[in-house]
Amino acid sequence: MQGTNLFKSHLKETFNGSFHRFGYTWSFQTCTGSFIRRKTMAEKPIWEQIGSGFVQHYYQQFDTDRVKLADLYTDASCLTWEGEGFQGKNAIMTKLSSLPFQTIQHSITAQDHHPTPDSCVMSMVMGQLKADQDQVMGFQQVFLLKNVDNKWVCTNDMFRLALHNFGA
Amino acid sequence: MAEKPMWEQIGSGFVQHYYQQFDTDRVKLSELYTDASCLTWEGEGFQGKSAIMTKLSSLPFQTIQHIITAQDHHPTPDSCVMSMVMGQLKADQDQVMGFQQVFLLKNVDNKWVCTNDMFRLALHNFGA
Repeated sequence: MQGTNLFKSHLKETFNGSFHRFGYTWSFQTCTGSFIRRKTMAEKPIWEQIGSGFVQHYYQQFDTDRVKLADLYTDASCLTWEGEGFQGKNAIMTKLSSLPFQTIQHSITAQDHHPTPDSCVMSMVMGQLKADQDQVMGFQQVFLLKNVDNKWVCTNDMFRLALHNFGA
Repeated sequence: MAEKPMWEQIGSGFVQHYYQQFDTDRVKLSELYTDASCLTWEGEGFQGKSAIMTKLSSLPFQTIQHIITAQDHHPTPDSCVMSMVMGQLKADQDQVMGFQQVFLLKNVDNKWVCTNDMFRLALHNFGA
């Protein structure tokens, strides 16, 4: 009996917590001396779904018809574009619409999303963009998203080209 | 006298303090985080002051130096301050690397703490 208990606690220690195999999450149940399994539901946290969904939509709109980005901002939104500030949907859309390129293409290389204490979602994006026939440039952008009337809007937006990063 | 808006003072003050502490004695950064703080460091998540400080303390360099090339600060609808930083860093004798970092600051008990922190090296930006 003692040997069995030692073996069980050895198993529990060896498989500390749980492990994933074959689409299941396995953990060792000491009282029965067996492994129990449940389907691994590795779903993205809600804030990641919201953030990545917004990011995908934002750049798709930006690259195809950026006038439609107006839906994503409110009169309380703030944008800082390459160090210059714009307050409110109108000012923001005037700036974005007046950017001097015919075609633009964004490519996202990394993105991070956090829930904030006030139930917003903060998203940081790194990527590259190509405007017209210009050379490819790196950029970074940050969004703060808030749920207003059951819709996720962007209250804060900061964009900068990665011209300052001379490393790597 | 065009004084900087309040949120810019808070944001730039925090940024200056943060990197100064980071470069000299990053153990002291713990004062800037709370148990509700979240850090994502190069895509890896850490929740709460202890986990964050364990990560920052265990970074594998002897010396580190940050140089800020650009920073932007916003007030948020919920009276927080959001700060985006671009810069360069040099760890030990490694080559200089670009980085970006974002902070969300909240006033808790009359003190500005960092509730959300995201850091990434600018390895992905192959342009310019």
